[in-house]
Order: sequence, then C-alpha cells, then structure tokens
Amino acid sequence: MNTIVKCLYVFVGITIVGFYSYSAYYGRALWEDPVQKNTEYKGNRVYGGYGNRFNHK
Amino acid sequence: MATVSLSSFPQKETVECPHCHSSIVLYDPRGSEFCACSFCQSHLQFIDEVPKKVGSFSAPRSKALIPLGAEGVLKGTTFKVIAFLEKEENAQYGWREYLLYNYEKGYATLSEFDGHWNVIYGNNFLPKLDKVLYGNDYIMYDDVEYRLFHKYNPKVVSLSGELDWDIKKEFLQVSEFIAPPFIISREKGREKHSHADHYRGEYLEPKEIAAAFGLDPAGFPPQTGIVSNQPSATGDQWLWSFRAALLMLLAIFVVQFFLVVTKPEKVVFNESLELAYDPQKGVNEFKPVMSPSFELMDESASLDLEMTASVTNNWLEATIVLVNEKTNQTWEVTKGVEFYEGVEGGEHWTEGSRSTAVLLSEIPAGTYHLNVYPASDSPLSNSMSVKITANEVIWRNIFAALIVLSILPLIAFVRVRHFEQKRWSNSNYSPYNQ
Repeated sequence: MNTIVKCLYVFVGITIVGFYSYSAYYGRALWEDPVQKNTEYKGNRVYGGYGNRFNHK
Repeated sequence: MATVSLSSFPQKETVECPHCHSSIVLYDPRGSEFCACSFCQSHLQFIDEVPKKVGSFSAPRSKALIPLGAEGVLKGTTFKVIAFLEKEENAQYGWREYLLYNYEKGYATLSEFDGHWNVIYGNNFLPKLDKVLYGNDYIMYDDVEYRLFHKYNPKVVSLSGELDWDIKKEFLQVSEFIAPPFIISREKGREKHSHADHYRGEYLEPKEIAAAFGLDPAGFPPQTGIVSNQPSATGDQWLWSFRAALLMLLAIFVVQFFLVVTKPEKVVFNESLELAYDPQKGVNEFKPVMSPSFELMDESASLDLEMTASVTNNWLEATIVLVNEKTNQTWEVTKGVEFYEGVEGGEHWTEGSRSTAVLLSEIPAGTYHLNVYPASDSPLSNSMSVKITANEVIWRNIFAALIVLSILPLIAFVRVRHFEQKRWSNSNYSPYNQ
C-alpha cells in the first residue's frame, strides 16, 4: 500500500471521526427517519394498519 | 568437515583434475572432501589429499549468477561462494543452490527458484534448530508455528565447486514447513531410522543478494509466480489498515463515551394521552390531542420518540407533530402500531408490536408540545402513550462509521486471502482445499 493511499485513508478516517463527533454532539443522524418538516397536518394519510390483518384468520 | 573457527578465509589452492587436467581452485582446501571439475564435470574425492574421480555430473544447465570464490556479507556474516549446484524434483522443476562458506561457522546455502531467493542456515548458525517440535502437519520452532507445505525428494543434477560430503550418495526425503518469510526444511535419509536435520531459510529480495556480493541486480532472473515462503506485501497492508481502522473506531467510542457522560440521555416527555373516537371525521378517525408543553434544554439534540398503545388484534396509527412554541417549526411523523395474536393448530401466535419509535435529528432547544392525530380500527381505543428521550446514542451513525472505515481493511483482507490461496495452490497441504 503506497503512502498516498495511507495518507488518504488517514485523512478520510480523521474526517469521519470529526464528522461523527459533530453529529453526536448536535444529535444529528446521518440518515433520518421519514419526517416532514414545517408542514401543516392535512389529514390526508393512508392507514398502514391493514396489511398484517389479511395474513391471519 | 568444512574448516571452521578461523579468523579469516583459508588460502585458496589449486589442484589438477585427474581426468581432464584442468585446474580446479579450492577455497577451503583442508575442509573440502569432494569437488567437481567445472570443465569435464568429474566428481572428485580427495583421498590422502589426492583427487580421485569417483563419478561425474551432468553439465550445468545455467551459468552461476554468483561466481565461485565471490565474497559477500549477507545478514552480517561474511561468506565465500564455494559451490554451485543444480537440483530438481522428478525432472518436473529445478532450482539452483550456492554453497556459502564462512570461516567461523561453516556452511550456509543460497537457493534460487523462479527468481526467488532464500538464505538457508543449519544448526551451525541456529542451534535452536535441534529443538524443533512436531505437530500434525506443522512444526514449532522458536515459538512460531510452521505449516507443512511440501514433501519431495531432491536430485542433484550438476555441481561446480567443492563441499565436505559426498552429495552423490545423498538421497533425501525433504519436508518443507512455512511461516513466511521463513521456511524450515526437514531433511531425512531414506533409511527408516536415519537422523533428521533441520534448516531454516529466509526469503530475500534479489537486490539484497546483489548488494551482498557486489553484483548488478539487473542480471538476476525475473521473479515469476509465488513461492512457498514469499512474504505477502498485502499482509502488511491488511495489518496496517486494520490497525488504523481500529484506532479510528476507538476514537469514535471515546468521543461517544465522553458525550454519554457530559450530555447524558434524559426523558423529556412521557405522557399517556386520552383518545376519543370522532365519527364525524370519518371511519377510524379520532379527535386530535394536544399534549402538555415540555422543554428541551440542550442546544441541539436527537429525540427518540416512542409511541405505545395497548392494541390487541387491532391497529392504531397516529400522526404526531412536534411543534416549537416559539418559532412554530414543526416535525411531523406518522407511525402505527399493530398487534395480533391467536391460537392456530393448538399453538399461540403473536405478530406485530404494541410500540414503535422514530428518531428526530438535530432538534434545537426550546419549548415544545405535540399535536397528535390518532386513528384506529377500533372506536374503543382510548389511550396511547408517547415517550421522548433526548440525547440517545445514535447507533446508526456508529454503524455508518464502522462500515466506511472497514472498506479499506476489507479490500486488503480479500487481497491477502487471494495471495494466500495462490501461494497454497502450489501445495498438497493447502488449508484452502478443506
């Protein structure tokens, strides 16, 4: 493994550690659950509760 | 026996070949008992210091890269090349050996196969070789395990130079055990109770040999294939990347531990909300509920929002809106719980869960409340509870860092494995065939 790859890996690694530290401190998830921001609830939704019931008698 | 315990190389002497009358130079005239004439390939034995022909060898197939009489310092020891041998196994493949003579300790060997070199020492250099321990397909030497790689019966094809034993009468069974960059050869006569000798070889790069004997490495044969004890460059790469990744992961865990202590997780909201069915709003719809207010003190935090409802053979779904009372910023999530159970074929079964959770990211400090819009299949559903925990460990971030940091070590590991599989493809004792 040449020095360039090693340096690049160390750089990427330190960036990851730094970004992780920032995210952990500010409570930031790298990928979020489905959340709608600054919307007004309009009541137009599709219920998800029907699915499993068809699997059982 | 080779002359040893001297302070310098003995004076060379010249003898005449009794067969072709050519001059033969001896570099250890007192110690060498046999030699071969470089011109007629006669095998000569010194009887009362007079050379007598006792046989002959084939003509060498190749020229010695290191000339007889060349002096060099290899691994800190001064050697003189006194013989060049060509050997083969079952006429399938051959290799070359250079007998090295040191005036203090005696013989060592340089071997070359497909451009790969080994320097090989016996117990005159490594006394611990007499204490090799045997296991099943491995041996232990100096607390290192050497794995069985190959067994063969070498045959001497040609000889130039001198030595102190009758190599023509040498019929050996050789077992090779490897722990790259080292190899241990166990040499045993074909007689049932013959003594076994051990030799340890160390892989050397051609440039080391060339530097030791003052030769031009460009004249050395190119390396082809992978030999048994060739060190794996990818092995070092894997070790380096594995250690680097481990260090970075350790740093991540240290950071996380520090934050767990200085910014601990805390429950900021934990309430049971009463629900009321609203037939005017439509099937399944309940009246909206507004929760009491609660405070988020940290500058910015993750929130784990857990919703629980005591549903049985039913479902409950709610759109929950987190509202910042000062800025009117909102975060809207829709989550549902469903839980079913029953008995089928005499067995009790359950499916689903009565609770579910969602992670909200980077929620700023402030006063908040929840607007909850429930819906359920059962108009009798009358409560649900919501619990909000701030500053929970975000495991998905740790897993993401782990995955990214593991990429290079994983690639290096695959390359190491590929290299080792190629190495062991030349062996009948490969662990990769099992």
